[in-house]
Amino acid sequence: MKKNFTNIYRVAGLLSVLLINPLLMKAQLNVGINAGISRNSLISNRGYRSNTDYTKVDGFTAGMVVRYPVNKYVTIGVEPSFIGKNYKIVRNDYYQGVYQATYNNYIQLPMLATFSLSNQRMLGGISAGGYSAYWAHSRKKGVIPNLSDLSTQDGDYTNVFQNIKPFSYDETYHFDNKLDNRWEFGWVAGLDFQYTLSRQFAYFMTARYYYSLTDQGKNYTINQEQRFNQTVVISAGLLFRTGQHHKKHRWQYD
Amino acid sequence: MIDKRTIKGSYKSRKIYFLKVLLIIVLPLTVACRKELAPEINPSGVAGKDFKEIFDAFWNGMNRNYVMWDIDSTNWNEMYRVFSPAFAKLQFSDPADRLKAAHYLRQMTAGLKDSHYTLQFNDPLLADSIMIPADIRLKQRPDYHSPYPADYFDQVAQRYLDQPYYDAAYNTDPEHSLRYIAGTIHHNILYFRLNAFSVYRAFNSDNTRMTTLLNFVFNSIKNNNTAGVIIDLRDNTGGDLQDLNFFSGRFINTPLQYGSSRYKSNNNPLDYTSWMPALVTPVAGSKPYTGKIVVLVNMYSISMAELTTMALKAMPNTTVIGERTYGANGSLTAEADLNGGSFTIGDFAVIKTASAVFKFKDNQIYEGLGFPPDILVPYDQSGVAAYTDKQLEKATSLFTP
Repeated sequence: MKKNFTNIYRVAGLLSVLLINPLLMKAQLNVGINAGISRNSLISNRGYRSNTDYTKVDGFTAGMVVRYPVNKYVTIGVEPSFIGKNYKIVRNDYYQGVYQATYNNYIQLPMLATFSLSNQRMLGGISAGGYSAYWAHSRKKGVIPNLSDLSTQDGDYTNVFQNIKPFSYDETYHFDNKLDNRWEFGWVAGLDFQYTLSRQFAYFMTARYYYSLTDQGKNYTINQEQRFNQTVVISAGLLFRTGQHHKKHRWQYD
Repeated sequence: MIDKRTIKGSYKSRKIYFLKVLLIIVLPLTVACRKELAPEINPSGVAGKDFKEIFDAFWNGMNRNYVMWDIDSTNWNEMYRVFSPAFAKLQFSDPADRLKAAHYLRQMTAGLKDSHYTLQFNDPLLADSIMIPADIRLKQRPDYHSPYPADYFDQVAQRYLDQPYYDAAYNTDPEHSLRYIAGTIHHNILYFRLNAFSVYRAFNSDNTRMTTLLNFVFNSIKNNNTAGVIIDLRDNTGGDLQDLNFFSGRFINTPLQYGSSRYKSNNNPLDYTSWMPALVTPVAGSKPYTGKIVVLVNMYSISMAELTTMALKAMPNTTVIGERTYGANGSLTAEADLNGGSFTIGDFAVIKTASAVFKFKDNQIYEGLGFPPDILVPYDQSGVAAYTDKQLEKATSLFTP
């Protein structure tokens, strides 16, 4: 199943390059930079871990956008970016204070088609497409009980750290080829808003929802717990129209 | 002049175009979703009256909770492929099938490295089917022997210790009936014999014989008034982890790292935390012990006895004498504490397994192997029969100038 997805995206990637290349040569492009915040959820069948919750953690994203207006209503584009897909495991009640935050950085390439409506100044649209991402870096930070470092405190404990001393860490995670699936593929959908400043420039804001179809882990055991990223990104940026400056040019909604 | 038919046609084609675009955008989102994630079943929640359910609960519970898959040679996925169909054929109502199921479970777990691992059945029919892989491993050792006779250490104390000496018994719990002996040898060597670790609880009990004995030991260590100490951990079955600080913490005045440990960080078999330092925290007011420390161990020195040996071995003035230990170095705690370790399969079975893996400061994991002595003095059957203790004699000889 996963292999099929990989093949599909390989073909999609190749086609995209073949299709976008001529557009780049033609240079009727809107190019921009953007930055924003991401909020990721780790979706898994984590089952029955007691007093344990997965929570969302905010991250940052920055990147560029390249858009080609196909016609008055439709734009296609890519939005290569650097994005944080973070999450946190927290424990509660007796285990209050135990947590592990995972900060994952991905290099991501979404490819989108945008359908938009506009007037003279503003544009609103909806986008959808697919994305591929490479898990470039991971850092883990947390506080957990160190069973090999017991407290000398007596009495009835109301918190695990009264009995077992805490161990704090903040370290780079070293990827394991056997365990970690560093390529992620999925769908992306979103909303677009754009405000024209001048002939060359426009502000834009986007909201994106990334839905991963690939497990973060390689399938190395039966009944493996699967983990998927689901990320919401809000970003803002500046768009610049390239090429054909000598002609009267139009934004894609003109 | 614009033809009305042309305008009408243009609107129509635009509508069709919009629909096509929407179709292209929306259709892929509706067809490509993730497969629904099956929820994990808590093994302790199963009814335990159906062998397919029991097998799934056991296999998944082990896959999730067992902390040593990275160092274990058992191929757990292969166990699933082989035994899942076999369990599906068994009927819980048939006593012969219940015996067969216990036999299968024993086969599946026979090679597990965790020396704390115990598979026990609640069904009276299967009471004798308890599985302890480490005991099988122990019996395969070339130097295998039985534990010392029940009166051995009392007789040895009578023979080797200066008179009078201290002895005390105390039952902190049914598993650890404490029998401690303390005294001196040649009037300048402290001897302390423990059959199990529950020193803290014993010291804080109202058993005055025990507290007097322990006060003698603690004061001798604190006052550094002997040439050294022999700590006899032979046939010591382990016990309370808090004794690491409470007893070993009397030999130091700064925290001592003697190894490291780690446990499960998540539900997949190879999800681990980082290695955390295994520390002994000094007891308040303690001083560094400058005398010689000798620890006596044998193949029945288990768990806390081994951890204490390794903690003391991390000090420069310690010599370990005897045999390689049992090899159960992991720590046990409640499943909820570290999200791993022991669990139950409904009312059918109880699985006791370590929650954490330990490695000594030399970066070696002695789980399933046993901690080796510095000076090997094998068990001597004829000497034991005559209460001649070659291992203790060797320890004593280290203090002879």
